[in-house]
Amino acid sequence: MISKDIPLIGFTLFCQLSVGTLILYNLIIFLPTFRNKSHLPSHFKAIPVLAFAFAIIAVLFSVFHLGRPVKAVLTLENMSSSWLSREIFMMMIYLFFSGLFTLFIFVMSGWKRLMLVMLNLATISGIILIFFMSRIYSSMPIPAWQSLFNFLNFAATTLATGGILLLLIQIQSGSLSGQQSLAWILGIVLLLEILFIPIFLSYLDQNSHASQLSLKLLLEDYTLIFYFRLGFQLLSLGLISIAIVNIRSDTDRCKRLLWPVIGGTFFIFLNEIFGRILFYAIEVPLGSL
Amino acid sequence: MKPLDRRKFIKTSGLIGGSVSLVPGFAADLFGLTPGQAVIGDLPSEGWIRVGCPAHNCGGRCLLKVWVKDGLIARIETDDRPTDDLSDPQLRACVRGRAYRRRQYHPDRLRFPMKRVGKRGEGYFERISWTEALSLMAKKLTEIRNKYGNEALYIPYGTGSYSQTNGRWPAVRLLNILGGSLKYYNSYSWACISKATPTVFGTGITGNQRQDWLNSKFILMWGWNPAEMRDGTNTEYFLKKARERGARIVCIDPRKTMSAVALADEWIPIRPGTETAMMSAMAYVMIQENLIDREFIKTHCIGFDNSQMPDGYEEDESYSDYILGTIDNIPKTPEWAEAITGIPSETIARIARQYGSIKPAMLYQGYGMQRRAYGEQPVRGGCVLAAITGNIGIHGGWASGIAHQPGGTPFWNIFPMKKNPVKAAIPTFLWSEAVIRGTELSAKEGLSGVDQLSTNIKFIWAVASNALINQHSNINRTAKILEDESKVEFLVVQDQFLTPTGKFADLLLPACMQFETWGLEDGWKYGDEVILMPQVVKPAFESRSDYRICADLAREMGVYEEFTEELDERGWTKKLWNSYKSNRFPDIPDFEQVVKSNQGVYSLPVHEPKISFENFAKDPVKYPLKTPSGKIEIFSPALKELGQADEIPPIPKYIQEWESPFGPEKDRFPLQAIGPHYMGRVHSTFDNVDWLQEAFPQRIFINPIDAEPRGIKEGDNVVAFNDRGKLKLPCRFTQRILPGVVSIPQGAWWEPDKKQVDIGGSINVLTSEKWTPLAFGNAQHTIMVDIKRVR
Amino acid sequence: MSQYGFYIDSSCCSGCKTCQVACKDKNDLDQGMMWRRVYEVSGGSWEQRPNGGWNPQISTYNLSIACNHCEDPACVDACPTKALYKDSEKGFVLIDPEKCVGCRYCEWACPYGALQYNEDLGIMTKCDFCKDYLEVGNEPSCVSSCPLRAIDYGELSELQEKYGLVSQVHPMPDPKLTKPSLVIGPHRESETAKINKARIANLEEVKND
Repeated sequence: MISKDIPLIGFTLFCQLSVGTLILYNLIIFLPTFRNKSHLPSHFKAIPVLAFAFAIIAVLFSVFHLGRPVKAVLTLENMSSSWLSREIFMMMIYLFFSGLFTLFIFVMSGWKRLMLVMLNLATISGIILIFFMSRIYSSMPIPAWQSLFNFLNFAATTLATGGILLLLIQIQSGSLSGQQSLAWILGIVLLLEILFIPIFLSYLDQNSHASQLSLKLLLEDYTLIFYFRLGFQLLSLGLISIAIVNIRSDTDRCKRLLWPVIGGTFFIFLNEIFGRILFYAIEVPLGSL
Repeated sequence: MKPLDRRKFIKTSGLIGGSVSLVPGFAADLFGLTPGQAVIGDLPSEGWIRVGCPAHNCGGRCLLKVWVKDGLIARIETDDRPTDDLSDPQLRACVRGRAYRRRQYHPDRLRFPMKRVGKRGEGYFERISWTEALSLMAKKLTEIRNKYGNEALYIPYGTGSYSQTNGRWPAVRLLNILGGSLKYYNSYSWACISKATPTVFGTGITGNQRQDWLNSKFILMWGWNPAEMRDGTNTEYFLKKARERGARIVCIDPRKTMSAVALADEWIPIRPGTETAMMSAMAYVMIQENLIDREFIKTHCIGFDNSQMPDGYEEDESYSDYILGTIDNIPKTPEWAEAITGIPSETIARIARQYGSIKPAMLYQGYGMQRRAYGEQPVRGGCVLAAITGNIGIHGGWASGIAHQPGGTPFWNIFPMKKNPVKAAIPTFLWSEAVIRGTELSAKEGLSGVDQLSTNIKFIWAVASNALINQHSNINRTAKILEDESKVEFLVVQDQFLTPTGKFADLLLPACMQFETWGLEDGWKYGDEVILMPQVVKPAFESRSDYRICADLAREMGVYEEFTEELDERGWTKKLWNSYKSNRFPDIPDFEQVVKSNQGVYSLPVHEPKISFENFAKDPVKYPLKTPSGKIEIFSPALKELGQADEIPPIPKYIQEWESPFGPEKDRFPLQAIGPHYMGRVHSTFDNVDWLQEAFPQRIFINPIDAEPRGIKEGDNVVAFNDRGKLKLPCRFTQRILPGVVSIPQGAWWEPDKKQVDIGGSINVLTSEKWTPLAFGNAQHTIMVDIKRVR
Repeated sequence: MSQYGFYIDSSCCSGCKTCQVACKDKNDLDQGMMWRRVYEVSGGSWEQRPNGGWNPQISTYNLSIACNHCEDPACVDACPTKALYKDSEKGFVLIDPEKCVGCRYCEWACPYGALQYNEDLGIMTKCDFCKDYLEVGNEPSCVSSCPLRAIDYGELSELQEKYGLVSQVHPMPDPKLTKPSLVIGPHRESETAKINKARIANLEEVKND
């Protein structure tokens, strides 16, 4: 049931968008400026704010997923065995560090080293958060979720959504730093996403009867969403390839990439939303044939 | 002025772990009851009360234990008597009884009397007072009686809610006091089997008490499905025990029913309507391999072969002649039967050998196969197989046929209805004929008691009856008949819900639930017990008991004292309870004592089960049967004398049905449709109960072999149709049905859309009003349809 | 610590759902919630002979499943609030409604579909073994409801001694996952169910969402 899953779709996607944005911001923007001891352009200050805002939106979504949100604090009770407790804990750590870093940008921008530590901590907790998130699902007796694909899927979403957002901001603001790397990362992630599809399908076909039912759901009940998603992936890969080929140290030329990148953003987001819908849709528990 | 809203249930809050409060608060609000209101007579106002499960035409009579709190039934448990011995097993209620609160506290319950506004059948009503309702009814009753006479009055077959004191009995009593009403005979359940069994045995008491099943070594459940319907509380349990005792059980049925799954060792799918072909082929094998009891045949039967044809019929075709094909040149071999029944010839031969050689053996016939075109034939055929194998009058055997219990069948009505001054009686299935052309009916249509009716039916008082529209054949036809106000001039429906029949009422009277009045019930077809049904809660809204409604009308008609004998519902229950003392259970405790003890049930343990025909089997000369010959009539001279050998042969024969996969009709409608009982319903009763809809949604069950060529996928909406009507339902794929047959469980409430397509899924939009030749019974299972996918 | 469990006799279960509805009545469960569910497992094929006879190859049986009060319950592990816990006295898997936040992760974690979400209360609910009945010496409602006397309950080790060790038939999940406290009297056709590709034939009747 998709309606029941909307809060989870929102939560996971915004979390991953937030973490992806922050990781790539760290690698592509913050770290180079720190190394070069160059000045951080002021419009880049907005990016951590965005990442933090995405995380907050994610939290809001997650609240809608609870039957009794007022008691949300209780969810930290079972760190010893519940991946959900662990995930929520990691979410709080991530919020703490990314929030602190965001605060530093504005009030303590001179303390570069401390900021880097904060950002690195936020990045690491973000990566762990994504891993825990994938563990929640792979620990369920639901064969379609019980594989490494889970983590790869979430990681790809993280990099793809974060990456395209950064690229868009950079193209839009005419900044040139790291665009090439971003475009390459995006291209590789999208290519991998597409390449994984047949492998994942054959995994579903091989694993168990429940996973075969997942496969059936994917290809029969959700055919349209499945193929639309594939279309979006191919379209965005095409648009990103245009970007890879055309990105040069030429501001004007880059500006002409704005529309392709806007298109790429649009299709990547659609791709990831559709992908997440499919992720929840194919939940078929073991034993229910 | 609007049709009644079908309001959704107000959601109840689930109670979590060990909560004390048991009462769903919604019900109190909805039913306008205030706490503490329910102090009923001498029963505790709060706590567990043992009460008979409200009686419907389910075939079970069970004991409930209900928790009453604040005037509401807050929980239902079942019989918890500590001993659960087979001599007197607990009367555990089925899924329907356990879901009863959702029926009792259903928002659609009729709340007050209403009269029709708009055209008949449109379903528009307005609220009126009881005073107005009763005087209107009295006025119409008097008018029509004066104009047409009492033969114009009719209280149709109806089993929606009836115990010994509830249902149509009080209404019949009242009309009998007022000069009577047109009678009916037969039922929709077992018209053919009740008529045909005595043609063989001279009686309908052909069964043994169920404890005797444990003595059987081989049980052939032929179209018999006690796991999905109820054929006596605990019948399925007795079968389980018989099997544990070593009986081999084989189930023959077009569907792999839950009886085949849970109770049998083997399932044999058979094409509906071809039972007599299989029976004949079994007889063929048993005759050829000498697996018949020739001695028993010689001493106890007539008509088996040429050596024992009755006087004057020596030249007629004997049973052996038919089976061996000596006259028609068609030996009824298993190969012959395979093409007809769809059963491999080896299987037929194997079952014949088992039935012929494992002793003692039971051939138990279900009633579905006799609600068919020539439903008399398999009944007689089954009885003959039991006879020629000598399984009659012995422990562990079974004579087949209708199989009432020996020694005083419980299936009787003891509410005194008084004598009906009207002599005329029609077969119950032909009531619609009596509406449109009553005065033209004759013995040819089964009219009895008179040569001719003086009038058509003009006044119908349907008490707890949904058999006018929903359960009668060919709904679209019946609806047209009832819509015509010049035919039936006044139609009263007295029920608990606005049923499809209720929508055609001129006057709607709200009857209360059985928990809301006094009653009692004894075992249905089996079971030596009497169950008390004390009033445990007050009638909701303005509803009244069937008895109270009739008493109030009696007052209006000036016969109150004669009708009531100054007894109320409790008074009648007491009188009837105590009457068992003299006629069936000498040791039954006094009524007041039973009420006080809250024991709910009186039962007589069965340690030595009675069997039918015990004396006859031992000495047929000293204890002859009540047949004209005193013997088992394999050949019936009486049937021969009817002179319709094609349709009513004197020996049981396979006759191709009037709608059949072997006739030309198969080109347009290639699928047979059958309407089995559904686990969530008793006929059309309980159809509106959400817990049961959830458990057993109304579907068309179809074999993928039939679905796939039609482009149908599992779960698709499909339309089943023939020339009489259309119904639309989602389909469910199942392997548990013979290819070529679809199942549309009977009893769903008719709900026509704008194009007259029934989206409620009542199979009776497809069934035919054509009756069976001998019993004038309903042949509702004999229909051909096709199915197509729709949006 | 003792461990209680259920015995279900699938060999004679008729799928009548009296247990399911008795449970709903006792616990006031709205439409959509079934603490006990009855699964029809069915599948197979048909073959027609030249002379018209049909040979069915079909496996069918019913399984009445509530909560199996597992020895190693996945739901308890998954629950982030420890609302789900294993009762120390009789090994019941119970839920503390005060602690449950309604995150529904246990619903995924349980391979038997035992956890049921109550929309109105925003929390999960489940079979509590009618422990209030047990305390006053009565049987669980499902047990005393069964017209075929096909459900039993008690100390798991005693049930196993009486009825055997089967706790899984096709297509139920591997019992190693959660160690269900369940004993099944298998239907003879469960042996051929896998070959006949039997599946849950009444899925729409047992799904709770």
